Amino acid sequence: MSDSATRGSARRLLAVRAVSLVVVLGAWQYFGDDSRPINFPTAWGTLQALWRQLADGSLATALAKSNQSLLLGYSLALLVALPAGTIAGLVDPIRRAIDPFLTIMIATPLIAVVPVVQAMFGLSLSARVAVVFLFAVGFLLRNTMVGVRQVDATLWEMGRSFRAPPFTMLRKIVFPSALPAIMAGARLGLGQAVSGMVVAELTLVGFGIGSAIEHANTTFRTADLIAIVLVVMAEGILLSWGARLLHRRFERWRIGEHGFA
Amino acid sequence: MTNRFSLRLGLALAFGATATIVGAADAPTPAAKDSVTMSINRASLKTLPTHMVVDRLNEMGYQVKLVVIANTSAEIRAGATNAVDVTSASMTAQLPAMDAGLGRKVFLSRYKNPFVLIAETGIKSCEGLNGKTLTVATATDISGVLAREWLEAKCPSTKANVQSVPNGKDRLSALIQGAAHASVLDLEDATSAMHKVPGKYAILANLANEYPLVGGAFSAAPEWLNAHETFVRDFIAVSLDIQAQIYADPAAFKVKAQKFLPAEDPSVVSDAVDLYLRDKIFPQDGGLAPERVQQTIEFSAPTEGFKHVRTPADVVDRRFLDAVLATRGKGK
Repeated sequence: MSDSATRGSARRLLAVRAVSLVVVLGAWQYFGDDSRPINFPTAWGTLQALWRQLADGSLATALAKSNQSLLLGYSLALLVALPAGTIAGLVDPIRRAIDPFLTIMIATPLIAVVPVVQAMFGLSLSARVAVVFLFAVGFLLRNTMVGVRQVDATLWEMGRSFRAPPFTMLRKIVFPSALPAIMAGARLGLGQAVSGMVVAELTLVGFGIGSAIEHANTTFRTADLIAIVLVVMAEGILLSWGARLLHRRFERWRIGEHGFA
Repeated sequence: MTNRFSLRLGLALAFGATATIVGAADAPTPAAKDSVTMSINRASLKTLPTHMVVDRLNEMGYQVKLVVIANTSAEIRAGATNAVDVTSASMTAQLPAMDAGLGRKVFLSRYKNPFVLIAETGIKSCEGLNGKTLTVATATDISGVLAREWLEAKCPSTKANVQSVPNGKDRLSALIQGAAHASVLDLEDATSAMHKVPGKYAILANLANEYPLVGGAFSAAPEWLNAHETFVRDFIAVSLDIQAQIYADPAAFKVKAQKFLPAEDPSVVSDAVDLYLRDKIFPQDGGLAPERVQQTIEFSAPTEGFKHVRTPADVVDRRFLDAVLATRGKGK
């Protein structure tokens, strides 16, 4: 495809997205009603509520508090899932042993285990971290395992014929090959981790964003409530976008240094 | 055979028609049997009287359908969108909604504030809560405000570590598992805690008696109330009858409660009923005395005060309750 065709296609995509955004915002503005705080507000009313909460700093404070558990829980999930998924992908009996548990973990609505987390960790930060960890780890582990298992057999063969030591095999063959699947799992896990953060704060112990949502909900300030939800959504989108950028960077490294296509 | 069947059917129809005509003369049932959707919280001692009232109303020919909505805010929003005709959420939860534009009026109270502050027995006083974890539902709901008010009134220098745990059963389990040292629970959950770990917990403050606020309250849209006047009066009359019956025969109520809450230890239910009746949690006068409603408004208001909700007249419609009380020779 020529450059001008690519630019034309990108412009059309941008135009479609801009029109859809205008339609959604227009419909929201039309159907919203700011006459009473309990009603579904207009887009403008929600924007004002968002600005008010950003200006007084309450939203930033709540988000900063919540992100402690997100950062710790997701980091812990990465630390556990990457080595465990690699080992499970390489050692078939281990994969067979953990696979059913992973399937159950991914299929189960994890909100149901929140009381169990409370029983184990109480109401502390570690309890919220545990919920975030549980929400994220399944996807990370499964994708890492699958990515490692999908390494091309000829690459294994090549590594073996060059008598590459295990660590070199991992670094030069396994990780570059499994990277797309691992990064897809990382993005999925990140979205789940954000959900886990909010679930923990809404159901386990009121804190940060969860407390802010609960307060707006119980005082029936619907515009405030939607504004907070929009901020959580924005955080999720930003993190996913960051993960995508990271993925692209790793892709360049993968293709440039290791010749994977 | 066919003739005999026809004869039986004819007799049955004739008997049914006669019974209907005779019954209509006696019962307070209106000619048109209203169909009403009412929301209620999940099964507990607090909701049992409402179930009894609904059973009796349905026997009278009404078609009252109870919809269980576990989340109070969701219940109030269901009322705001007229998804249900009558809601029964707590008054302190309804007041902010009314201030935010919920166009409904309370016409009867279900129960008064049933909360107590329960703590480990080692905590003997308000000051003993210093540095201890105290759980409430949220900082701004009734349990949170009760805890804050009580601490400020009794020991203003005490700094308890107040944590929000929205669900009462989760607060109960957090307490029993040692994740909290004290909690604001309703009398039923508090009794459960004291039974599950005997000797470990005691009631530090009976907030139900110290703050006799309006608890759960039935509300509906004013136009709905006007359109269903007969139903509303019957509902109030039956509710008052059931409340009186509960106090007159606690043993029968205990039996009903134990059947209603089969998962609960019968001794817990029995003891909780005793506490409910001792503290007069179920009001026999409709529970909407103006001074009590005013106190509840003042108690529930945020620091800056409500914008629209200021007096009982802003939130309560006493017309139907007063009419029923008048027929029984009771005033406000």
